[in-house]
Amino acid sequence: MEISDDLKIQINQYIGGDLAGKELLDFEATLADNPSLQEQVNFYKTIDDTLNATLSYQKEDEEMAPLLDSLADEFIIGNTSTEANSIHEKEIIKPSKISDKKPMIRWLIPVTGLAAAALVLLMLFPAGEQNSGILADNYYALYELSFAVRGETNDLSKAGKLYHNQNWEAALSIFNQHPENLKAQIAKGNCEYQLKQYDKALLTFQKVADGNSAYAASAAWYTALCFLQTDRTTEAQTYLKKVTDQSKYHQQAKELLSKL
Amino acid sequence: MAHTDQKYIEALLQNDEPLIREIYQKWGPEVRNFVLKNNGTVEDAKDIFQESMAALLLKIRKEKFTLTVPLGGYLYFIYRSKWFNKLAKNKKEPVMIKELSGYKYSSDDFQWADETNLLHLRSTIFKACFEQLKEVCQKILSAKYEEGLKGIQVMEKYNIPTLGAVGKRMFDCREQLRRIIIKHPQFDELHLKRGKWK
Repeated sequence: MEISDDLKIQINQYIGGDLAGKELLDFEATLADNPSLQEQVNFYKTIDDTLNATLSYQKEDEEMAPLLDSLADEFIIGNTSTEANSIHEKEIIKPSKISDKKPMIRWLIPVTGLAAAALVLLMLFPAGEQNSGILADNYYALYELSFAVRGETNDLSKAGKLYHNQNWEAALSIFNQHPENLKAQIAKGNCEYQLKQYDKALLTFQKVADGNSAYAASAAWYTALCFLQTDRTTEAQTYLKKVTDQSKYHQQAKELLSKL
Repeated sequence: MAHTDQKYIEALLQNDEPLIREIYQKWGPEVRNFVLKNNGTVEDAKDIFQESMAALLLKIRKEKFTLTVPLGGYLYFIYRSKWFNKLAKNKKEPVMIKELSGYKYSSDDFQWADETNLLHLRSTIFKACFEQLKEVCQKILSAKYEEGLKGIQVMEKYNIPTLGAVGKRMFDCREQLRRIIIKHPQFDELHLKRGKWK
């Protein structure tokens, strides 16, 4: 259905609450006679109402985010981190996910799952450098960052967007400016890992893993993967043991330990 | 009559730190217990509680809201529903939730939580779709949504020749946004009708 320019203007006025008196009554009568138009206008109103409530409070959200984040660390995680920022982290570990950077091994991974694939790989490459690197690839999944708020004013938010778009170098340069922020440091380590700068990633993760923060177990997991990438199995084992049962990586760490 | 926990709603609206702290102190450990009891980790508990707080904030900012029952109950049904959906998405078999003891609930509680979560989902998806709009449309719609400008102010700010032209542009941008939204993979979860207009 084609909409005339006049009707477009009228719909916009109606949604904005700018119609009154006879104009409003006439327009409401038009809507009553045309359910399809009514449906369309309802959709626009839902968009407007929702985005008004969402976008008009971005500044307030940004101001509140550090407080809510630190309170959640204190009362839910149970271990207060010194950092505070607007990034709301979400870590998703998908053992069956294979790094996009490794197309050469993709064909080896059947849809039946990672466990079977890892077994095949272990049989094909019984020992050595390639084997531990492949194992690490099989277990690696990118730290996923989502935002409690997204504001242009916060450079960590910008870094998160770059990270999400896999622009590792650009994200890295911003994360580098936040050494006190442990979550940013884990994201930084992931950028380095994606760029195959495993020694740098190792140092980044290890600093967090050796601390007492709520992020130590996650960082220990990534530290272990970096050790595997650089063929240091014993050190990897040490860090896998640091992945506590409170961590979502615990099962994967146990499984990986049994394979080393 | 408002429940005494209405003070927490006001605190969230005013960014009153001591009272917001009380919210986390009172109900943070509870969400942790709930998620751990239902196959999650402490990190999941944090995520789900923060998402629930974001949903609650959105709801109370959008609507004038009077709390008539304890806030803990409302929060419980918001995060319970979020966690249930998360588990259900990842599992093939039916999900059985182990409830926290102490909450008596009615179907109204579920409905309220579902409405809040639906609003939150719409907000998240609409915002993601909004970011896919062309810059010129983002600017014009931001003037309305973010800055609360009226048509005449938008006309002056962007040197648009007439008020009618502002209305037409806003309509066209909103329609572009609608088209992006209806293509979103989670569109069916938004409980909106696609409409017959293409």
